[in-house]
Order: sequence, then structure tokens, then C-alpha cells
Amino acid sequence: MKGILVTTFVAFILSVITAFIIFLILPNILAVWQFITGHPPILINIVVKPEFIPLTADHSLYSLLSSTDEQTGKSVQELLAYAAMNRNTSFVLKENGKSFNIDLKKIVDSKMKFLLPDFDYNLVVTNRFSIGNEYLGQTPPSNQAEQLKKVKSRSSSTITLPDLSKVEVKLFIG
Amino acid sequence: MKGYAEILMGWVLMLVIFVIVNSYLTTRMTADVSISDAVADSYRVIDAIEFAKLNVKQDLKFSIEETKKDLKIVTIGNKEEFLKKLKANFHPSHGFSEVDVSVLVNSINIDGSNLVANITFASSSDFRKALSTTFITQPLE
Repeated sequence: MKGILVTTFVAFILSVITAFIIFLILPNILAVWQFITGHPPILINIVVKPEFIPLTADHSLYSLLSSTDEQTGKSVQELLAYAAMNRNTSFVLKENGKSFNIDLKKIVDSKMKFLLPDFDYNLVVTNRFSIGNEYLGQTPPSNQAEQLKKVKSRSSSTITLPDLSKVEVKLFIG
Repeated sequence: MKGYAEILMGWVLMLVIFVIVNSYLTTRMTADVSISDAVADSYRVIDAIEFAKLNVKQDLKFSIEETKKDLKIVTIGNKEEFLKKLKANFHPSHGFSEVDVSVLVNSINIDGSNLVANITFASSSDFRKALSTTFITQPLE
């Protein structure tokens, strides 16, 4: 009787240790396997191939450009075009005898906070201006690597200005 | 001692089974990843075409305004003259995206108080071909 109890107890201990190894330790041992074999565990492959992540920036940029400013009734894309033409994010828009004081930084910021509340962003109109964290995705002289590393996703498109010239608009998300 | 030997054999056998099952599941998971990549690529092409459509709508609006300036008119009188000048001004294109999208204007017509452009958008991307023909409408006034 005593022998059976000891055997059962030993079996219990072995089962607990085995379960512990499989569920808690084995995933870490995979890193050792990777070091020895040179082949990364499959779970890491899934993490480092995030093909859908660029879509976050694509969809955010599209939503931003096509969204409408409540004050003027114009799309953000059109306001960006006027701002790019003036090379300034603050300008006066005259429409049907009315004048609107446009602060594009404020408009874009409120929409981006709604679209991506937990993300840092930088909206760049090439050679004109940027809105948001101006260093994100750019190459400043200092802490360059740090700012580039912060970029999780990016997107770019074309906007047409009132003089029918075209400029690039880029969105960096960090 | 016989009981302990069986437990030890069972323990080793369980580990072997775990490794075999894990390696099989690994191959299955790799297959799933390649499918999601294909879907993501398709989305990127669709996104690029939608960006082009959005830009062309803006392009058309500013082309109308520019044409009015060129002709020094506020309202459109001679439709043929207006369309001729508009076609000279309206050169939609889309660049700066990772996916190349070509824009082809099939026709431009005045329909009542609107200008209607029939436009084909085509992706010439290596990894996915896509084509979309649509009407883009813009008020003339």
C-alpha cells in the first residue's frame, strides 16, 4: 500500500514538472534551439512579417484626406492643398462671401486623435510643412536612429494643388 | 523500480509526441501566414486605387476652377469651348505610392450642372493586377 502511494506521488511530481516544462519553459528553450540550429521558431516568423501593418497608415491617411471639416464643409485633402499652396498651415479661406480662419494643425490633430488615439503621427506635405511630431520618420541630425525606429507604419499619396501641380503627402505612425 | 521505469518511459514518449505534433503545427502555421500576405497585398493595391480616385476628384475640381479662370468666366456658357479647355488642363495622375497606379481619362461630359468624367484606374504592380473604371462627378458651380 505504501509502495503504491509513493509511486502515485512520484508520478504526480513528474506530471507537474512535465507540464511546467512544456507550457512555461519550452517556449524559451526554442530560443536555444534557434541559436543552435540557426532556424527561427515559427512564432517569431509570424511576428516579424506584419504585412497588414502598413494598411493601418493607408487607411488612416485615406480617412483623414477624405474626411470633412465641419466649419467649412470642405475635405481635409482640399484644405491641405490650399495650405500647401500658401506654404502655411494657417490661412484665411474665402468662400461664397464668407471668410474662414483655418488652423489646419488643429483640424488634422483632432481627426488623428479620433482615428488613432494611442499613436504618435507625422503628416508631411513634401517641401511644404509637417503636422504632428515633426521628427517622426524624418532624419534629424541627432537621435536619428531612435526616431526612425519609432515608425511602425507609413503611407504616402498625391494631392493636387489649386495650380494643378502635385505634391506628395506622407503619414508616419509611431 | 518497475513502476518508475514505466513512468520515465511515458514521460519521454510524451515529449516525443509533443515535438512531433509541434513540428506538424509549425508547418500549418506557415501556410496560414502566406495566405494573409496575399490578402494584405490585395488590400494595398485597392488602397492605392482608392487614393488615386480621391486625388482625381480633387484634380477635377481644381481643373474646373482653373479652366474658368483661363476663360475668364463665372458660369459656363459655351459647353464645347469649356470642355476643350478643360481637357487641356485636366491631366490626372497618381504617384508617390508604393503601388503604381495609371490613370486614363475615357471621357468627360457635362451632365446638367455636373461634370462627369469616366476614368479607368489600373495597377501595374508586379504582385497584383487590378483595374477599376468609374464615373467621377463634380459640380460645375
